[in-house]
Amino acid sequence: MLEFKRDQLDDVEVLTLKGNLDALTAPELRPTIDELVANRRTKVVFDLRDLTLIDSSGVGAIVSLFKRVRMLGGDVKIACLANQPKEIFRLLRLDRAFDLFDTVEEARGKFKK
Amino acid sequence: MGDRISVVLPNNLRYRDAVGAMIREICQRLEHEGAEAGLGHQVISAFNEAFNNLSLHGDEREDLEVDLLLSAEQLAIEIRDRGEPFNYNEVTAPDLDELPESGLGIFIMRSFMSEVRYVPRADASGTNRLRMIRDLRGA
Repeated sequence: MLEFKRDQLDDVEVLTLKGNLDALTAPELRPTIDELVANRRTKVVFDLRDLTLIDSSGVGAIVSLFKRVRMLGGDVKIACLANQPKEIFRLLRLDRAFDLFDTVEEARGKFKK
Repeated sequence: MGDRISVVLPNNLRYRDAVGAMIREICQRLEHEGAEAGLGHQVISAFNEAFNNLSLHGDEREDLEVDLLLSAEQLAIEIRDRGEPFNYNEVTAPDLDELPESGLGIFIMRSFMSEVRYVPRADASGTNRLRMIRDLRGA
């Protein structure tokens, strides 16, 4: 099960994910990713506080958005990474590719600098 | 000798987390008893990728058989299916610097488990056997 919501705070899109982002649920997120890119939303924060589990399909969805937003000159930042998703990010060295923050506010603030 | 839990379930992603919950429970107990922190996250990640591969590429008409085998030395997960075998041994490690969007599943399995063995058509009935072992000694 995946629940996600999308909030626009100033010019930053915050995607909050809750539950599992995996082979079963990642396709549910794809239309939102496509829409963000189509609308050239170049400042994105993933709030992963309540993300319980991620697998390689879920990683693929996040990395896909990251690459596409980067091509538009923007960035995707990660907030509140913990537990199993943190293990996956560490293994796949995504903790080096993405800027990680303890809170959404910190991640949003980084865009302003 | 050790303990064995055996489950037969449909080859459908919807049932993956039911087995994952059992693995989580076992690993939480092992961690409480002194196993490496993060053991559960890692073993569940490996199991999920294995199940994903079999479910997405296997034969949905054929059930999967899953054995969890626990001893003082190791936790083993064996998954048997009768779908088309895949070329496990030919899969090479991804270039992580390229931020690949796919092809990470077997890398995750190999990284988080001490040993992964895949035997296609392991018996006369055409069963493929995937066995993943996590060493618990000195972890």
